[in-house]
Amino acid sequence: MIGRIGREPVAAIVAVFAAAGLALILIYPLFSVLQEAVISEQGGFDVSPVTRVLSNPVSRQILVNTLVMGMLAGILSTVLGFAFALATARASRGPLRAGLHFVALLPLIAPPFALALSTIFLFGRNGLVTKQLFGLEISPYGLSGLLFVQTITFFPVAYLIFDALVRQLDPALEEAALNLGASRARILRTVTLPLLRPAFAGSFLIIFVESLADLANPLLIGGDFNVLASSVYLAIIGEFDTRKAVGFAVVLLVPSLIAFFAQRLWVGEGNVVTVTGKPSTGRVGLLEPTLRVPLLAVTLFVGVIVVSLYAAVIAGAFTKLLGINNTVTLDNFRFVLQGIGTRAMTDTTILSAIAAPIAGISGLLVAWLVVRTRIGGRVVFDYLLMLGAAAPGIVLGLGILLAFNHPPLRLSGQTALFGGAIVFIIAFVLRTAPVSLRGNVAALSQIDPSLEQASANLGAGQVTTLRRITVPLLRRSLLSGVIFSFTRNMTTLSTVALLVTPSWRIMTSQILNEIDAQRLGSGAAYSTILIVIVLIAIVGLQRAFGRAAIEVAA
Amino acid sequence: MSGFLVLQGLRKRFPNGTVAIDGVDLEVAEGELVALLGPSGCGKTTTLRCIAGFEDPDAGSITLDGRRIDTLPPNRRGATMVFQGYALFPHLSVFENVGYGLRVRRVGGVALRERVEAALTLVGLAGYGDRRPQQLSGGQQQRVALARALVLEPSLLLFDEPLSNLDAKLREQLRLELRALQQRVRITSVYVTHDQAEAMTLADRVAVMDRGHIAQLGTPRQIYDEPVNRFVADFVGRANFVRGVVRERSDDSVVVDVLGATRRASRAPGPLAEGAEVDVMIRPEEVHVVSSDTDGTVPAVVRRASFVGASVVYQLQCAGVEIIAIAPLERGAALAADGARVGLRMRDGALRAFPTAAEPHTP
Repeated sequence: MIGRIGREPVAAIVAVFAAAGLALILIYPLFSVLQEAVISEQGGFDVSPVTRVLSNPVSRQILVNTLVMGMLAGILSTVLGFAFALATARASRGPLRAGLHFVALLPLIAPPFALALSTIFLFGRNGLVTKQLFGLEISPYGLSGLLFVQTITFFPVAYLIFDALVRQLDPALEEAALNLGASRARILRTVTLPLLRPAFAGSFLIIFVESLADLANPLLIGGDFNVLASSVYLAIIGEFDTRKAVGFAVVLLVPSLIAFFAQRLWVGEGNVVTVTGKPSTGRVGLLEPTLRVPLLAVTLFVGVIVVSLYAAVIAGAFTKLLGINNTVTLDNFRFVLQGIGTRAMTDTTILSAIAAPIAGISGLLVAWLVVRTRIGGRVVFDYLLMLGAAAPGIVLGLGILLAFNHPPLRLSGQTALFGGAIVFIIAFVLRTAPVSLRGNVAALSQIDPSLEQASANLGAGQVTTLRRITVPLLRRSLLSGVIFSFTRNMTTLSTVALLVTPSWRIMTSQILNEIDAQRLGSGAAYSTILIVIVLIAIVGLQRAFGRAAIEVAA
Repeated sequence: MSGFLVLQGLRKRFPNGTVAIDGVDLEVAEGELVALLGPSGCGKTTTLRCIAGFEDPDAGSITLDGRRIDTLPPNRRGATMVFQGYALFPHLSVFENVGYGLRVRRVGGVALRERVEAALTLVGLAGYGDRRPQQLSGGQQQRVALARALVLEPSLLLFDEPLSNLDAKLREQLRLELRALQQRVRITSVYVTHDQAEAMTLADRVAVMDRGHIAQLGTPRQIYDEPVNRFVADFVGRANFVRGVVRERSDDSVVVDVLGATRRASRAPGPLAEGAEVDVMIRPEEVHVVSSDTDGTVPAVVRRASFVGASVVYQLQCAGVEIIAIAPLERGAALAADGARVGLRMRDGALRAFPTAAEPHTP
């Protein structure tokens, strides 16, 4: 062990920093939640916050609601994502294919409220489509509206998983089946689908976790359909009842972690697909029209909905009240920018921009530690950091709040250091470093270790090799990690909803306030500004640091 | 022989339990090129990676020029390596690749430029410095990898199957170039390959490896003509093995009854008692196919004669066993017909006797 550390001094230093960092910003907050859940105010052992959730019929219904929502959202999004992957890979070519691909990625850059907001504009009680066009009087509030919004929000995640895998499938397999006399539809059923089976499981589990963690949509469009994430939020914000919030948080944490780590263990990386792993070079034929036509019909219909939802956000921002008073106006923007909107814009952008490179680089260093060094217990870092992605944002936010709002480490609140800015950065890094980690682990696994061995062989020490060889080779995944982190930081609500103070304004939180106050137009204007900032950042970073496709970041 | 590089009792077991090398002892003289030759899994690459420092041996020592190096980190060993896939840095130009090790050693400016240019000239790539590795052919990439290792003027060069990714013709050409270059710069080298022709062309001495240890170490002639066991005889070149019985024996040879005739054969180390069964090896090119009425030949039947260009390969049936013979064919001469009766002539010195393997098998 001593010999190893002597041999890998840099790895040892990185490991020590990673361990200290994880202990401080991850383990301590999660521990604070658990402590609050099992230790009573008198200091005795008391698990009543958790048992109360499970015994009370109302809160038990909330648990059931949450699981139902997660499973249905997981199934619907996975099926839709698969349909899009199939449509782009086997049912379309040229501009149509490019269009479907674009539409399937579009929801990724939406702030959490934007789609729910435009759903209300288009399909609400006074919806442009439902009321004005068809004269229908339906309410989007509740499970069905929630599922609609979540499916549109999360199907791109499934699409990316399937798209990557379908592209990796060896065309020779399909050619072999074709050569043996199978039809395209039969090949799909007997060759392609079985090979993709792990992807269905993986996609479902990932979206299940995302759905459970979603705070914005349940608050906005859930109506009376309460779920655990929104219950945690309301317990703190509405009732100032920490122990109640902690009870919900622990109950929410359990299925999230089980699903997340089941996905990691079961599907994992590397054994996702049992094929060559080489990108396909051969051309694969299109499906027969009997399958192709309905597939294109469904995906194009969804595509139209996605585009209309985006259009509705922008239209909503530029009208008095879309659907009721369609007068074109700049009032919404004026209201936002003259109010605290400008503050929120700069505050959120500054905090996101500080956290993004930290998250990107931490992810890269831990990836290096895990993949390339022989430091003992390196896999533990991988799993620990992934907890940041596995735990729902609201639970992490609650943990950070509980851990850092009192001595010895008072970092949150107006009177803390930098007006409490540090807790936002902790929250952002915790949430997005795992994504950088995964991206860099994947990229590093693709890089032949002999390159770094060659560097050592030529006399370079670990620092030189890391700086001159490893990091330059990983610049694309590093950039993707940074772009993803910035985008996610700008658009997240759940992680920071509980941390907001008057000294630091967060845009998503302001959007929530506007919508709460029934100022849907201002909410739309905020969302539009947020989308524009995110797009500028993505394009700007890519211009500045080279090409990394949006899809990589996503 | 002075050991410039000395491996002593090197052992390595991988975490999954496989024993990669099991007691490797080897001495390489200064300026010598020794090839480690063997099938995949024999431990040749692990031995090389132990020398480079990418694997830690469980036991044994490695000494280079009188200095223990097995305790040093890989970047302090002064033994540069030419990697199997070349391991050229894709984000650096050819010049920067070759200059990488010099920069690490804080060589800069004119000295750097001159040494990199000289190394590129040495491998025939003068003027290619600005290219990216991906813009070069496989053979050119191989030369860049060589220049990158040579430019540091290492005390030891390590080659990990450097030609295995190239096509056959280019491999043959580079083999000769590499030999000429090594003769010129005279850097002590260890060269791992599974290609016996490559090993024999390049190496001063060849170490044939089998299941984690060195089965035989000798000049190319020695391992081909005087293999110590059936494994070496079989792996290096082609060999017929037939059963024989020892009639007489002396220190360096035996007289054996084989294929219905009596012949003198050289003997491999090991017990060969009179009257005992032995495995007798004869190389296909030492089996001469002549007309059946020639004196002193062994009768045989041609099963199949195949024309393969430079030579003819005969599958023959002789005293109940199958024998392969390879012979040049004079232009215009007819091939022996399938089923023809022929005579086989075998020189005394061409036969070699081995103690019978526990599990006899026909080649």
